Amino acid sequence: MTFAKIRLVIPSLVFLLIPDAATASSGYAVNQVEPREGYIYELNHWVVRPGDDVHRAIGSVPDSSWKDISSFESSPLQGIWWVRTNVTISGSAPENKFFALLPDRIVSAYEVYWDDRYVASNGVVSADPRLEVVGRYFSVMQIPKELSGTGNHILTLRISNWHVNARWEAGQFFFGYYDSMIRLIYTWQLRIYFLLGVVFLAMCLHLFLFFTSHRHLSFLLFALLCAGIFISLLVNYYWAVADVSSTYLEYRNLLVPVSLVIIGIAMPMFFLLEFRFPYIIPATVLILAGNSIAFLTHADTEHLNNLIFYLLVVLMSVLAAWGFFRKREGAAPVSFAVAASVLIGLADLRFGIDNLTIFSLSIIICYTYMLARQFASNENQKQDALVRSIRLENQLLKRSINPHYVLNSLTSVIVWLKKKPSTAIKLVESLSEEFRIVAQVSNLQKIAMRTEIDLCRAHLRIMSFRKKGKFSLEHHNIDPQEEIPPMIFHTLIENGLTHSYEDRSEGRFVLTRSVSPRGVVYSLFNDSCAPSSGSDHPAGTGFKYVQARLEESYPGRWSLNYGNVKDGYEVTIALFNHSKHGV
Amino acid sequence: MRVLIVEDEKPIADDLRIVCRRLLREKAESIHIELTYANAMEYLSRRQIDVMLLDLNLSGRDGFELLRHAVSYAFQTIVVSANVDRALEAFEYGVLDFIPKPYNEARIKKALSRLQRSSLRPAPAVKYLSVRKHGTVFVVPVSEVTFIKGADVYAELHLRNGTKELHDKTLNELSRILPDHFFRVHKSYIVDINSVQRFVIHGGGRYTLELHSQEELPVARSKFGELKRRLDDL
Repeated sequence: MTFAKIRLVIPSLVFLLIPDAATASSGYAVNQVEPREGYIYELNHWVVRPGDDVHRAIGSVPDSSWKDISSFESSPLQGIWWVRTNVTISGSAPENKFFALLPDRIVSAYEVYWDDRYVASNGVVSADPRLEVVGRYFSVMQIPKELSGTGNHILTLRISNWHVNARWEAGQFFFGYYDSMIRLIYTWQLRIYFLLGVVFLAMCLHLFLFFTSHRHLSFLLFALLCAGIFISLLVNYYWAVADVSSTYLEYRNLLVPVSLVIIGIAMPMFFLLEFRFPYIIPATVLILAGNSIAFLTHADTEHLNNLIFYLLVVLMSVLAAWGFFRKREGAAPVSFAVAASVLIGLADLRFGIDNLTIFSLSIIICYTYMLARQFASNENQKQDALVRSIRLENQLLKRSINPHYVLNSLTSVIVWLKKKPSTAIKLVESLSEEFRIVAQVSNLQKIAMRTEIDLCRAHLRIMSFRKKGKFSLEHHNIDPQEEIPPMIFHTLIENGLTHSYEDRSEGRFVLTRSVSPRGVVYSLFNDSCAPSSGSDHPAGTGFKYVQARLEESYPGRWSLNYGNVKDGYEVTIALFNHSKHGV
Repeated sequence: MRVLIVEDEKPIADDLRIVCRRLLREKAESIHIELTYANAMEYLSRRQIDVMLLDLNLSGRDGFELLRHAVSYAFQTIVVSANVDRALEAFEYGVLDFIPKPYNEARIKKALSRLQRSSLRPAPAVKYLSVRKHGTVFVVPVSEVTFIKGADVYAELHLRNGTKELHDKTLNELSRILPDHFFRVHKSYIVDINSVQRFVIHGGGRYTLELHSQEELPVARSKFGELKRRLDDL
């Protein structure tokens, strides 16, 4: 026997089959089923007869008053009907096995007849609305073993719906071994618990991030998206985790569209912000319009699910492509998620989960991966910044208290002790002041300008003694309280003294500050000629230190220029209020 | 003795001059100070000196660029510097001595005494000889030199690859700084013992050395005994 279609229900070995059709002697198609462990059949070829004429439903041959169920139309359905189909069982079941029928989404109450004999009911069926009692949404009806032997059988149901505002003809009827039905339920439970857990954790993570991080709106949006998926999953598959009344379908049909629209809006809105899409307003209007059209035109929740899915695939594909070409972080994972979920849908590897949930989960997983990468990158950057900071601190100490400088200075002290002890004392005092300030500021990222100037002047005094000359520092428009990275100007002055006053023992340094709407500019002028060849320039360690300190304190917001000016040489440092690149 | 002090800090330069004057006394013919290397080179183009006291850290310039230049001249170079981590390297370039800063008079005295004691080689031996050619200075590894021939006030370095380079120091001055395996075999020749293939006795008091490169060098009669001992030791 072959089967028209097989759908796998993982993880358990429960196979959902569509049985072959054959034609009964009555001329109606029948469902051919074979008793097999782990297999469940979805019964088709139903005919329906509105009304409660039991004599024409039981113990008689169907006449023309029975219609094919596919032509049956009613929305919402209120009334009482009989439905029937034929089932041919080939082969006998083992002693310990018995068949069962599992109606799905059949509201509100029904009775089951097997070969025109009553076997079970769910709720109380009645032609009188006052007498109807709504049954359970999910009920496995056992077929007596003595009735379900090999051969042709008639399966008839009497259905009434007076209390639930939902349609039933989109429902399904499953037939197979009883334990296979139960295993099917357990499989769904596991799957739903797992998916709910994934989405719930993602929702909590982004809510926590919303409350603890600066990136407020995007985290909240993503949490909202996760909430939408969570509600959709929980409501859609609540029947798998709890025993609910058939009225559940009514609430499901109400809540699921809401959750779908939340997903349909939150997902693209989140990525609009994440990718910094420039046309926010038109894009938002488009998203709202698309979701509105889907909501207003949907026939049922499954239809709405598909509409929202298609809408999101289009929107997210466009966004991902735009983000990819604009090199926005996250565009690649989102593109992958879109492609993967479309392929999963095409290959029908959804394991019974709807397209939209699969798509949303793919987006969550890929985005969470991207978030993890960002966190790792931020952590690495912090570590690098810490290492850089420590390295800069070491450089600062090495530059100012390096052995060569100390030994040369001590030599000078000895020479002055022999020549003029009072000068030697002043030299030692200046050295002490310089080293003391360096020790105080070495582990600071910024210091007051007053301290920097004191440091520069101490150094100039030392070099004046060493070279038996006079080096001075003037300053204009300096704010003593303003903070700058340590030893910026000290390094530049040291550079200037070393390379530009080779054969001079006198020099004048002038530090000027000017303010503009764009930021602050510092100019350090000295009255020397151009630096000697091979001297320290942007490639040298002194300038490298200055540049590293500026980048540490003003990332992307500074510039350093240098060159000959009238009567001297000038280095200019500009500190901008905003990034140079306008981002 | 003619001394040139190259030091960019004037108080230290003055002090060095005072110390040198005190140590050299009547032997000091002139002690001149230049604060920059450029001025020192300009001075050297006009005047001859016997020794230069050189600070390696002049106005931030690379000290060894200066050193390579300085040792290419005929005079001896004594380094006075705080860069003690490069003392070994300085000796390899052929300086007479390296005085670390801060210095004292006793240390300078010791360095100046090396000038008078020709047999006293600084340790470790020089590894490079600087050669000035066409306005530039390049170094010749001592390991490439097979023998050196005196050429008036210069020395002709004969290299293993068959080329020759002219060095400004005399054979006497080179003798002070070259490694032990270089031996003065003649008033006009210093040879690397390792380059000798055989020692030839011609008779009549004439001796020659035949090198691996097939060249023949004369050996002074007065050097015969010591040379033979050195060759036997190999």
